[in-house]
Amino acid sequence: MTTDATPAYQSHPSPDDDSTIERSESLSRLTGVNGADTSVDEFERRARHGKPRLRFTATHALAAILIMTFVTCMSLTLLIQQSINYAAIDGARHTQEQTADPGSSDADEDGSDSNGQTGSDDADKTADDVETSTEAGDGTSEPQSAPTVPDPADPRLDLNTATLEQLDAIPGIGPVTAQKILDHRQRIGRFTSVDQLLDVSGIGAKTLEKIRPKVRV
Amino acid sequence: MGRKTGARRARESRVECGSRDRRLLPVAITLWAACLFARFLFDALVASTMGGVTLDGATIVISVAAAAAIGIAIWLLSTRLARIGIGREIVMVCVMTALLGMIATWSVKAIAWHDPAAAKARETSGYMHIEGTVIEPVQVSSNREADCQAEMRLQAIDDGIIRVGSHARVRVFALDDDCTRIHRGAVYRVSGAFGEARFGSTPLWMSVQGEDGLRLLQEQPWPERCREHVQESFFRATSGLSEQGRVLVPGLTMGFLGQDHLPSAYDARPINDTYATQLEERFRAAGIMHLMAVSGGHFVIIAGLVRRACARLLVPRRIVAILWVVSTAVLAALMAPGDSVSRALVMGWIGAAALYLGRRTQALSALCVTVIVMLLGDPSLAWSYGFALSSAAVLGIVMMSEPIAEVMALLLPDRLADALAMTLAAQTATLPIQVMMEPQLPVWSIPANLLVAPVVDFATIMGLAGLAVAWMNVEMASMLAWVASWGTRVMERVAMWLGGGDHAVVPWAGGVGGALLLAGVEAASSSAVIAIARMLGPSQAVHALPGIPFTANPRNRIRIWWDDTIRMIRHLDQYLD
Repeated sequence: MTTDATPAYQSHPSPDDDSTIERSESLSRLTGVNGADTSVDEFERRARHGKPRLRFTATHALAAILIMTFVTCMSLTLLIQQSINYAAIDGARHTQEQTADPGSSDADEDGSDSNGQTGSDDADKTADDVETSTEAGDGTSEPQSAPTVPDPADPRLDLNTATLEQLDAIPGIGPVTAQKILDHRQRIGRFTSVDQLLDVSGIGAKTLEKIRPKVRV
Repeated sequence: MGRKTGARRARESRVECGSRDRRLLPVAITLWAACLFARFLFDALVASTMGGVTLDGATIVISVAAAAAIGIAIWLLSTRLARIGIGREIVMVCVMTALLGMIATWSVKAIAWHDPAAAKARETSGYMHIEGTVIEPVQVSSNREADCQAEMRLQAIDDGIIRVGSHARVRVFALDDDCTRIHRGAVYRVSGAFGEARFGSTPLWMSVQGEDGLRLLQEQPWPERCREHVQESFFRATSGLSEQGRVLVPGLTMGFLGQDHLPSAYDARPINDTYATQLEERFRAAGIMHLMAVSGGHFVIIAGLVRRACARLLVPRRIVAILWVVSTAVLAALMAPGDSVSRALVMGWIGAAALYLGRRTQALSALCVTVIVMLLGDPSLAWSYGFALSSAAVLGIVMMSEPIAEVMALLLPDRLADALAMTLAAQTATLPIQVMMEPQLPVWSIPANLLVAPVVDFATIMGLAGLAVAWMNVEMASMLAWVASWGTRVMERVAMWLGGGDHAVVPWAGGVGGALLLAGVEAASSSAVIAIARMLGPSQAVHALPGIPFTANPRNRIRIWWDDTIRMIRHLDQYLD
C-alpha cells in the first residue's frame, strides 16, 4: 500500500491514477455512518461507559506488597534492636538495684558505672537510650529501694525522704532552714551527698558540722 | 476455571473512564482509618498496661475472632469486587496501605511514648531544664497563669544530674519579660516546672520559672528573622484599624487572629478580649469559622495570579510550574503554621507537577495523593481536626459540587448556583467533623457563606497585597489593610447577625456517635434526592450520547423567554413597520 502510494504522490497531476482512487475508497469506508453503529450491544457498551476508574493492575498490587514487605522488615529490625536495648537496660537496672547499698553514698556512683559499662558494650547509636535509662534508673529505683529497705540501726535522718517536721526537729535547723532544704531538694532532684547542704542558703560550714551526725543521704 | 473466565468477562464488560479516576480514594480512606485504629489500639494498650490490667483469655479470643471476621469480610468483598469487574487488586492495595499506615502510626506513637522527656513527665513533674528550638510563633497564652506560649522541639532535657537527648514537643509558657525574648527559630535553654499537659494537642508543658529561666543558646537564623519582620510589619500596619479589622484582617490574611498576637510596644491599645472571644464564637455559630484559618483559597488565588501573569508573558510551561511551586512555598511560609496550610501547599505542588509534565490535574487524585503522602509522613495528622476539615471540604467540593451545581442551575443563575453548590458540598462533607468538635449544627451557615462569598476573595487579595508590601512600607500596607477591613466588616456583620440569634445553632449529639449519625442522615437524604432526580429526570442511556438533553425546565423556559424578549426589542422597528 505504501509502496503504491509513493508513486501516487509523484504522479500527482494525473487524477485517474489507480492508487489515488483506492485511497479515497479506504477513507470513505472510515467516515460516515455505517450499519455496525446501530448495534444494540455497542449502544449499551457506550451507555455503560463512564464508570469511575477503580481498577488497579496487578503491577500496582505487587508494588504495594513490596513496599509493605520492605517497611515491615525495616520496622521489625528496628523493633528487635530496640527491645534488645531495653532488655540490656533492664538487666543493668536489676544489677544496680542488687548492688545498691542504701546506707552508703557511693551506691549511686556504682550503679551509674555498671550502667555505663553496659552502654559501652552496645552500639554507638544506642548509647543515647542507655543514658536515658541510667537517669530513669536513678529516678525510680533509688527512692524505691531507699525507703523500702530502711536500716533500722541507722538513726540518722535521710535527707531525701525527710519531711519538714523531721528536719525541724533536728537541733540547729529551724522551720525556715528546713523549708529551704526542701526547696533545694526539689530544685536539684535529690541529694547525693550531705555536703550539698552547703548550697542551701543559711547553712554554713559550722552548721553543717553540727548537723552532720544527724543526717545521711 | 469457570470462575476465572467469569471474572474476566466481568472485567471486559466494565468500561472505565480514565478521566474519572477514583482508584486512590478507597486507598486514602483505608489508610486514614488504619492510622486512627492504630492510635486507638496503642492508647488502649498503654491504658491497660498502666492500669495493671493483664491480657486475659477472653480478650485474646475476642481479638482472634475479630481478626478472623475482618479476614472473611475482606475475602467476601474482594470476591464481590472481582465479580462486578473491578478486580481483587484494589483490595490488595488497600490492605497493604492499611498495614503500612498502622506500622507508621505505631512507630510514631512508640517513639513519642519512649521519648526521655515524655517518660520523665510520666514519672515525676517538677523543676527541670530543657533545650530546644521554638518551631511556631509566640502566641498569647491559652492558660491564665502565663502571658504567652510557644511550641518547642526539644534537643535535650536535663534534671540537674543527667542530660539526655530528646525530640519531644513541648509547649512553653512564659511571663511578660520573657515573652518578648522568645523568637521563632531560635534555640533556648528553659528552666522551670515541667509536666504533662493539662489540655491541648501538645503532650508536655513547661512553665518558665526564675530569673535565669530562659537563656538564649542560639540566635534565630536569617530566614526566620525575615519572616518575623514581614509578619510583625503587617501587624503594625493593621494596628490602626478598627477593632474588627485588627482581629480579622490578620486572621483572614495569615491565619493569625489579632488577639492571639502578642501585644507589642507599638500597640497603643490592646484588643478588647471579650469582643474578640465573642466574635470568634459568633463566627463559629454562623458557620464561617473557616475564614479565620488559611486553607486552599489563598493558594488558588496566588497560583491563578502566577499562571495568568505567565500566560500573558508567554513563559514556558515548566518555568510557570517552578514559579508556582516557589510562590506558594513563600506564601505558606508567611502563613500561621497549620495542617490545612500544609495540605493546601502539597496539593498545589501536585498541580504544579502536573503542569510541569504537561498533564491534566485530577483534583480527586491530587487530594488522595496528598493525604496518603502526608499521613505516611506524619501519622499524627490523622487525628488533627484542621487536616480532617480541610481534606473533607476539598473532597466534598470535588465529588459533589458539580452535580449539585447542575441541579441548581435549572433554577438559579450559573454563578449563584456554583457558589451555592460549593458551599453546600463543603458543608455537607465537613459537618460530621464539626459536630465531633462541637455538638451543635450551625443553621445559618449556608446563607452566611453565600453572603460573605463576594467579599472573601477581594479582602484576601487586599490583605495579601498588604502583607507583601508591609516590610518595605508600613503606610502603604496600612492603606491596603484598611481596604481589606471593609471586606472583613461585611463578614463581621454577617457573623454578628446570623450567629447571634437564639436559634443560630441547634444541638446535636456530639462525639463519634453524633458524627456517624449525622453522616448517616446526610447519606440517606442525598441518596433519596438522587433517587428522586433519577426517577424524574431523563434516562441514563441518554447520557451515552454526546451533548446535554434539552428538556423543559424553569431555566430553559426563562432563557428562551429572555432570548425572545431581547430579540423582540432589538427588532422592534421591524414589527412597527
